Amino acid sequence: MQLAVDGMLLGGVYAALGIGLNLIFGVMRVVNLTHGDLMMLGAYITFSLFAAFGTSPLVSLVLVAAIIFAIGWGMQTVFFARLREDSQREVLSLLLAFGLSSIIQNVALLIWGGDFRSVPLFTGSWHIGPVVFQEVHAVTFLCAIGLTGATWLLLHRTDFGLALRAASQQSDGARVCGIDVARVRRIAFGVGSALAGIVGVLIVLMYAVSPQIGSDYVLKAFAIIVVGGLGSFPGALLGGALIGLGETFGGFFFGGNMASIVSFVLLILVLLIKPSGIMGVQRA
Amino acid sequence: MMRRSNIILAAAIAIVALGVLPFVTTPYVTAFVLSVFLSIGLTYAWNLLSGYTGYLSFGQVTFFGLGAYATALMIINWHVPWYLAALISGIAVAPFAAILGAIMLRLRGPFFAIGMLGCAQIAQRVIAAIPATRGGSGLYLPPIDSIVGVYFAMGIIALGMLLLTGAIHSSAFGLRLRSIRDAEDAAEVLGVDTTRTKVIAFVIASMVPAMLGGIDAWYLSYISPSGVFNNAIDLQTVAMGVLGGLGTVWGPLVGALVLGVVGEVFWAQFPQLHLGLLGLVIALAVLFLRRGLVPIVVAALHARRKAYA
Repeated sequence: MQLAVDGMLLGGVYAALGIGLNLIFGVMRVVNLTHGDLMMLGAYITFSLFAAFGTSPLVSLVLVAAIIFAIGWGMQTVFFARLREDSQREVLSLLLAFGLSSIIQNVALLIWGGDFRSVPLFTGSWHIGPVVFQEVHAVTFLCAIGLTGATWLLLHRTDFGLALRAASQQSDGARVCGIDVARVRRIAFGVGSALAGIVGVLIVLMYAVSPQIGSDYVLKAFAIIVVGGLGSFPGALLGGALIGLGETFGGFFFGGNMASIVSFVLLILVLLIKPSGIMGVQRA
Repeated sequence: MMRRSNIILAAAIAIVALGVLPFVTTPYVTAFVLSVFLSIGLTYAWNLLSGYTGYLSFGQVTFFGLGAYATALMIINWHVPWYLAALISGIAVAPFAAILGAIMLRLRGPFFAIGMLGCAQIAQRVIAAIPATRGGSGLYLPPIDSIVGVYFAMGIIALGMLLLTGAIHSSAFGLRLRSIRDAEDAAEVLGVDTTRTKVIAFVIASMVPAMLGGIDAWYLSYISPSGVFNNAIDLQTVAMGVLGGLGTVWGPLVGALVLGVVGEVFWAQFPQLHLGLLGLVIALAVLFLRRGLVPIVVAALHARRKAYA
């Protein structure tokens, strides 16, 4: 029971991590390998603000969102938008993201050094019956759910969301209808990145981070959206919950070192059995 | 282009020069050339899979690490000679790679790339959890008295991979590999056994890093899970492959030479920038040098010949 609660709370944060990656993949058909690194940047910025000024993470969240949005926007403008639309695009975009990922890691290493950092706040806990709710898990879960809800509203209840979904389904058609597809893509890359950054704010409250953790988390984020179904919003929620539960139970039964393997094993299994994911839509 | 006899002459001179090099220069130069040999071997192996078939792998370091550990354990526990241990590691990894390849190569594009990234992570954690490897504290091997043997072993593998790639490039097998990159489904319809072709490339691209990992373990006398399963090894390999030119015979050689020399001469002063610079090389090559350096070198040779004529 305790494990199930912990797993679900962690799953909420993971879902938010997956949604950002999903958004960028949906619009650009680019698997953004820098997603985990952007998350790491968000975590470190939060740490620095807290260490220097005692800024509450809930305040730095806004700042992080703005900074990481700008980085994502810039990466799309400067790098990804330059790739030609041809058969090699997928391979080249992956290579490009692979290169950018190591640049970001290196920059973080130069600024913050290689030590693990964390922000020890919200350390209390409540007992409800036999179950312990850690304050930090509750706070991060609520933030993640709020974030997920806000993203859903953005995608489904605003004109921009409509333009974005149009650009992702039929970019030529959207262009004909007068949608500035290039601009939509820049903003989508920014929003997806900002989501990663905000998740970083939440992660640094729970776990210690180092400049290299990005590669771990991008695998997790990828596992989340593949398990749930690429491009599916409810799928990312389901994937987040499954990976969160899997890690909590895996860590309990096999030890912490094996916990992170759970998500990869789940990823491989789903890819082999049902490549479109549990809630995925089959594409022609 | 140069005439065929000129190429053979140049190659012969290069091989003789490299052959006597460890006996006439300082250990520093020998160690540097050795590290370039290692890069050349790794890049050719990666190029055969990722360059020719388009299946980008960011996880071939999995086999580098497995080879390193297999070799180290054979040397420590059974006192197997290092070259034999490395050779056995390379051969022993083949059936494992064939099974893993058959599974992983069902995935396409980003799924395969990220799946392989995951494989490297799993391998690192599993190896660290086995008692015989002593986990994170690593394994110490007997110190080596001379690096000349290692130099020749790595040199032979580098040369072998160049020749193998040259032979494959213009063969039917090479055509099948490229058909997978350009239009896998069409190739399948036309009767190419794409699964078999991909798996063969994957196995070669796994055996070579396993052998090189084994030799490197002996060379360094110390291995740890985070050292031999290090993502940076794949990062460097990918950077060299992309810079030289994906799916070409000379690309890995040119890429490994250029980055090897540039790295030694310029970057050695800024070791803390190493990762980022490699990343930058990949990003710039992808945007501005889609075919790599090789076509540029070829064009330069053409121009020179015209100037003489």
